[in-house]
Amino acid sequence: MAVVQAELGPTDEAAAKRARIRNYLSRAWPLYVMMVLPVIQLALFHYYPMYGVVIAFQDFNPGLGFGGSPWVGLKHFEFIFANPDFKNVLSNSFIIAVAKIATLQFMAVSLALLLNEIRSMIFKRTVQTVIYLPHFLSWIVLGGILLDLLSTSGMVNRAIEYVGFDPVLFLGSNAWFRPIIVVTNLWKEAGWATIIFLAALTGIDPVLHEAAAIDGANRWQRIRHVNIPGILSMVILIACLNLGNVLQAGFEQVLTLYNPTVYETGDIIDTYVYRAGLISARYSMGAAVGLFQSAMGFVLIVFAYRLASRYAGYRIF
Amino acid sequence: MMKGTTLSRRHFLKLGGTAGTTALLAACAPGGAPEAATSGGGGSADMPQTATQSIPELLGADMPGSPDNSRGWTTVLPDLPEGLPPAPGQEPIEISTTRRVDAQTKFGEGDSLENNPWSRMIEKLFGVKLTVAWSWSSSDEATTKYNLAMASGDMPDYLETIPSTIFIKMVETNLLEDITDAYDMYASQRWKETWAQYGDLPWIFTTINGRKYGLPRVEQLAQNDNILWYRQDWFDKLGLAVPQTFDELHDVAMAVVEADIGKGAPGTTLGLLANKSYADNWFGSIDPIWAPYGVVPGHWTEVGDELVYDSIREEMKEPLELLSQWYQDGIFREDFFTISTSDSIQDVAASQCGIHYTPSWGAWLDTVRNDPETVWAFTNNPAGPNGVRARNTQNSFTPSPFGFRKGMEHVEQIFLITNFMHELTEDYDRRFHGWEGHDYEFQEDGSVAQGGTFWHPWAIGPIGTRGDGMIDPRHIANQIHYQLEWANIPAEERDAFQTLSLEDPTGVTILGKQANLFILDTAEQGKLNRFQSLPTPTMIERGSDLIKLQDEIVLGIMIGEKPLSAFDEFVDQWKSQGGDQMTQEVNEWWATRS
Repeated sequence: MAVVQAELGPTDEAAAKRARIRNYLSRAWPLYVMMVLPVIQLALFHYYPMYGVVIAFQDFNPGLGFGGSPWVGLKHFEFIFANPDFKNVLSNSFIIAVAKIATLQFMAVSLALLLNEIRSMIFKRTVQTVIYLPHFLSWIVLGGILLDLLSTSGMVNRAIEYVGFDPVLFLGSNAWFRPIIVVTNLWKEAGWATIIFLAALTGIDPVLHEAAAIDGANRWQRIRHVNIPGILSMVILIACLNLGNVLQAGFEQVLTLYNPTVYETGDIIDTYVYRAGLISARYSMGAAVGLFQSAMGFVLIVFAYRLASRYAGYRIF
Repeated sequence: MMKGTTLSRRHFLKLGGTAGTTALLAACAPGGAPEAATSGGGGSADMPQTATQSIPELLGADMPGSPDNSRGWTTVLPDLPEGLPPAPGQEPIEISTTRRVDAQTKFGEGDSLENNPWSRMIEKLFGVKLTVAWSWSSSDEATTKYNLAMASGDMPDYLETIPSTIFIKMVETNLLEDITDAYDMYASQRWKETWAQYGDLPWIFTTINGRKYGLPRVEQLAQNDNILWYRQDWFDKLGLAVPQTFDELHDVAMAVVEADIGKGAPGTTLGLLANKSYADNWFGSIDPIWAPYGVVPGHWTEVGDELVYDSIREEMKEPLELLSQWYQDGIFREDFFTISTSDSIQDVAASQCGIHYTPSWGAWLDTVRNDPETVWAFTNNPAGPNGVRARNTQNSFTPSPFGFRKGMEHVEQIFLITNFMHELTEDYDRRFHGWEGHDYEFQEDGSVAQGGTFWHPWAIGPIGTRGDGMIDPRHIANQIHYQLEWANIPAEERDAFQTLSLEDPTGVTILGKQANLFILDTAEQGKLNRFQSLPTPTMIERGSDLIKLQDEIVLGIMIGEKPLSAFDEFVDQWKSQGGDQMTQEVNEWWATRS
């Protein structure tokens, strides 16, 4: 008997478990079906190609492929870090990216707060549409326009001359190159970046505003004491998530605007890889730099996630 | 405008009188006279073929020339190798190729890249069907596609102008056929003799470990030599003399800038064209300013027994200082260092710039179209210090070879077709001017006009392409000399094509031909990069970093962003960052040659 009981117990439990799973699946199966395509997509286009990073450790020759190219260990990484130029490129990327992230964040928050105060719906929507538009232009197109605007005979310099100053050679000046990158990035992206903060602002309970108004708070005080605290966690969250991008200085933008005279302040990792890796067909070197950049990005994202979960209560897992 | 044309033509004919005869002899001597071809019967227009069908009948509408037009002419095809044309009904051999195309690549109605008079003629005469596996237009695209072909193992049979870094990788991985023996066996005597005159130059970029892995692309002799072009109409208006020295060039350029004679907005007239390719370049180059000082950035020059890199030599400083001064004076476009070569041409086309150093195509047609007053002229390059005139010149046998897929079955076909095309295009008595409706059109009044299709047969193999190609680097010059002879034919007896070659409503084409001959006459001014070889390992590894350093310093000093004293620092950096190693490798190569 005892033996039979001992055998029956687990069987019952297992049966119950099976029933629970069946029950769960009968409710949840559409969710799993929905996940099939994204998972395949992720595996095919994000995980499978990762195999390609092996070329960072090879002297890759496309004719020999991944399997046949000779292994060279860390040669390409040693090459990169021994290269005095790479330090310059790294610091340029870092400075440009941080400046871009900081200014963009500040500008987007300010714009969102201002837009939120506009009463006329028509005016608000018009402004929004106008400031979103540049986001949809590619840097290649904008680059051409900017080169023209900033040239010595361009509109900007004409305006400078008009108010009595000497024209500035913007695109040939190491002092001006980074500010130009930062400001043009702001102009293009600031409108778009307001979206998330505007959404956060609409999420603020109107009761708070009403209470503040009854207490005699003016508009400025309501922004200061209701709106800003209300979106603060979102601001912190976005700032943390942006940390993962501190080495992404914007390839297309820099490529279209830079030239040899501003390599000193404008050459970033991506343009360096483009010139050295792709144009000279040194794929392994390019892959090594890319891998380094990704590894840095990974570390920073983990770090940023920790920060976000601590200070903004943001959690995925 | 009319005045300009007649002037040009008189000049042209005068030149022709002195140079034409000898060149004509030279052009025809090795080729085997076309009379022989006629009596041989193989390719003549009216002799029947041993088979039932004559070649013109076989070709039908794909026979070049226009014998039936009252002002037409007959093209005499070269003899075909034995056994050709193929018997009717025989399956054609397929050869897949890659092609370079560009925005102007277009065909007549019903024709395409794979099916045009040119490919049909090859198919009917040789039984070879040319397919196009893929085409590309930019060099980036070529690099990508050749890489993909390598990686996928799906290589077409005959590959047009493979970028040299990829070419090396292909040979390393044994993807290209060794054609050393095929060349000896199948290339015509005439072809081999022509190239033998140039020593090992033809094979420098295609030879690895003593074996040939491809055919070079051949450019006309001194094709990229730059001479000074200027707007005669501007000079006349301002009463300027043609500059003979750098000082005079500076002064006329300043005079043009100050007069603001250009068509653009006020204050936008430029003195001398320049762009970010500051070393040497195919339009608006400034190499004729560097070269008189004995340096061209990027060149290797023999000093003593050694080769040294020009960009780091002390001799760079003087021209740098000069260019920097000229920039400050406002002779160049202020943002020239951001402008690409093709963009800088717009300044010439829009009549904002009227003085530039450019090869024979410097009389830019768009300028004339936009501004009918335009009168282009060229002159000998102004002399630098001590009266030296010098400019960059290039090896006519360029890098980026044509390759044959390893294991390709019909390597010999490429050679047989090339032999045929070589004779057809470079024996001018054969009167090959292409096909009616493809290369030219008859007008209602009986004259002939260039067609809108710019797809030329290329002498190297079964390649039709944009641009010119040839076996003999003297081909274009020979052809011009040959056409000059037509001036002796009374005007009313000339056929339509002869008339077209001698008349030129815009004057631009004839000016270009004059410039071609002038450049060859002054060829001794050319300064050749002494390092003529595939890139060394350090060049591949460090090249882009070293070029970055160089671009930074040269352009930086030119625009005054960096002081001239920064040059010495650059030299040290260049040497320590791989330049010394590169110099050593280059000199090892140099030692094997002398």
